Amino acid sequence: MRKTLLLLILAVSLPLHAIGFGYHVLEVRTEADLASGILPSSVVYQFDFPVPDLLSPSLTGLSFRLDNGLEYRTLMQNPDNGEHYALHPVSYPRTYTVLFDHFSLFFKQGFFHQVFTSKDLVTAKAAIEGRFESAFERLGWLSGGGEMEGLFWTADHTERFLSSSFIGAPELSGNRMMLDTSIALTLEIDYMRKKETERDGVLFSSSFRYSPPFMPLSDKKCDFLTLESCLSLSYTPFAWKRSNGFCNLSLVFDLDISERMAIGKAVPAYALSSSIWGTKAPNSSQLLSLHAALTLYGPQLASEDFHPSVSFFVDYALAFGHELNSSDGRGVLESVSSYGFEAEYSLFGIGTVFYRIGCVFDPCYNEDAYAAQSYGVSLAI
Amino acid sequence: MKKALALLLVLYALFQLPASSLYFETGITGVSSGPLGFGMGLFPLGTSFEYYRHLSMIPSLDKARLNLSVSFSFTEKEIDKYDAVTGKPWWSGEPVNEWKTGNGQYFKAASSFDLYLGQGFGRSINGKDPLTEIRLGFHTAFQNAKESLTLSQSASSFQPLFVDGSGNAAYPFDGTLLYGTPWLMGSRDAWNSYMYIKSIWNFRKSTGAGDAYDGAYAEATCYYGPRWLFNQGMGVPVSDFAKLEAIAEEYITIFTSKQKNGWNWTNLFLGHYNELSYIFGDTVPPEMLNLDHLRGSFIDRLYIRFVGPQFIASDCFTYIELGFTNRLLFGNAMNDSSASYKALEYRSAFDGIFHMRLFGFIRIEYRFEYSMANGLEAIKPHWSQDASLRFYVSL
Repeated sequence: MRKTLLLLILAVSLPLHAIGFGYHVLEVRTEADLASGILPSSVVYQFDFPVPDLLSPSLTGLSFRLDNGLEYRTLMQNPDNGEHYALHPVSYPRTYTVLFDHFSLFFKQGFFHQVFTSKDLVTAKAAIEGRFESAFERLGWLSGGGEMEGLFWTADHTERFLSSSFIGAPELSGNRMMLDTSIALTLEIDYMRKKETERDGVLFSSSFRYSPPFMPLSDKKCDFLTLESCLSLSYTPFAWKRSNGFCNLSLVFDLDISERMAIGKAVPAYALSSSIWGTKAPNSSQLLSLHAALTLYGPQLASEDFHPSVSFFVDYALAFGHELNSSDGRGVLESVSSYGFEAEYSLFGIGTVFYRIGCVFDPCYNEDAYAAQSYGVSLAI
Repeated sequence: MKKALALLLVLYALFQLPASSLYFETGITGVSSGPLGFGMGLFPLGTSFEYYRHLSMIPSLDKARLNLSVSFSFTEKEIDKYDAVTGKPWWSGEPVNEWKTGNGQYFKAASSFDLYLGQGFGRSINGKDPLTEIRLGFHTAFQNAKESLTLSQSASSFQPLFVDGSGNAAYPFDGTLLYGTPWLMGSRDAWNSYMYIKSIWNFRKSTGAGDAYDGAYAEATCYYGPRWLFNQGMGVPVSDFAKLEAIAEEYITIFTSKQKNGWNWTNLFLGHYNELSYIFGDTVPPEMLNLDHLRGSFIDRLYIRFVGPQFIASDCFTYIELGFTNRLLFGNAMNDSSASYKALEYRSAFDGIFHMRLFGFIRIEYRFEYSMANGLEAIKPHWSQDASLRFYVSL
């Protein structure tokens, strides 16, 4: 039945009048433990079906987006009882690996085309989404150094989590595979003019995701609802340009404020990602996040998208409401934050070489502050 | 880190070439399936994609193409049937340690990066493609071997391949030099790189959908992966080889008919394919190893392909192909420390393909084969089949 439904989704995703496809590689990610973080470990790509614009000049779109690969994840709560590890520290490693596939078939319609941004002021989007995950031990497990301790397996190779409920990590129950499907609705108000080295305007988006256990294809491990809203403000107070329009130097200020509400008996980890650099806020029903950055763009050389930039950024998140995936659901009021510098070099729009260094304040459940750094190459087009 | 810097330097140097277009285009060239049991076999896991741009290098010639391909995949693989330490082949007739515990499987994560610059010369008979093209390329590949994913699924099946019961590296994966499978030494993180020069000759013209041609096509390639090209690890090279390869293919149209809009109704053509290759060197990376690890290979294939009508869209069609393949493998065994085993074997098979392409996006393929001569394998003639579904976008 599941195979039939999946094939049906595939078939529905093929409009009969399609002559050719547009497609994009939206993002390519790396993992430090795989190929020294140089070659890709996951990729997001999208196929655009050629559909006519129903309200021209506003855009109409029908697309199929697929995100697949491998990623590392850290277990935040004890799967057996939902206790936060930050409150109840353990000695065993909490990192594990996830192979995943995330698909999204979505329709979007724009309204009120704007000359200022060359985009639609309002865009509404409706999607059917699904995510398959398979979790296993970290890649370094059993690498030959005598270390037998895993997350799911103890040193003497007995299963660590024997509970059949897996309240703290519903996606890891049973054979540690998950197939979750959901419907997602998004409303976006875009009054932001974006160029490579300049941004001015306001962007607001609000996304609703509903994943009840009765969704088709779902393996019923997850049951949740999220509502996430984000307001972005950008302003370019200074831009020094050459005669050919290329930038010599520009300064951009960005401020993002977002709020996420999550309700449900079993909320999977993928639905609770947070954008705080260097750390993660505890799982809670409400999360308020703030990201502020001041970016100095250097000269555009051979191309518009070949330039350096340096940013100073501050991230802050406040988790409140009540604990998710927990048997007692007690109240939460915890905050995390980080600040630092980021240096990037954009390579012709296909990639970015970056280095970030900063300090993380993780007072969440009284943990100490620490310094962190990261570097690598990210690819996108 | 050195490799990252080297790659960036290569990229930076190439980007300094005069460019007529400063933007890359991209194409997804294939999406592979994941390890066994992943997503009921329906979800893909692993992708290859490419970026390219055109450069005017010589004004009187066609623009050159700078092509960057990147790929990654995750699979479950069975350990080779060869002696990991000495590389002694399984067909040697002597005892071979297979180093196999449990089901002998391991998890293989692999990525690769390929960059080439191609310059065309002259004009082919189709009036569009160059008569000949020279490509200069660099390829680097990474693979990492970890214990099988099935290992952690059940306590009763805990039989690791690379470590012993106490988590220490098991012989011969404990630092022993592995001439047979150098990519499984030490941390089992293996990089190998090679350069190549390829010459393509194009005397064919398209007669319709389904790669139907009339004329001839040929290419000759030299691959070179010496130890000094980032191929040194654990004191021995993980790659030190050269490969010469020549391919020729000829096509004769039997009949073809078109729809009013120029699309294909039917097309029947006869094809003939030859491939000759030989591999030199002490250490050959896994993606270059021939069947049965023999250095020389000659393939002769005769086939007939019937392409059906294009329907709904230009990239929706089916074809059926029947072929007869003969293969000769010869020479010494590769990755064999004694360099004393050699063989000559003959394989032949009759095969058929049913191929359906939908919107240039989905390819469904069913293959069957009747193997008549099976070379060094002591098995009787037999039928086999497989089917695949792939996402694919070509430009």
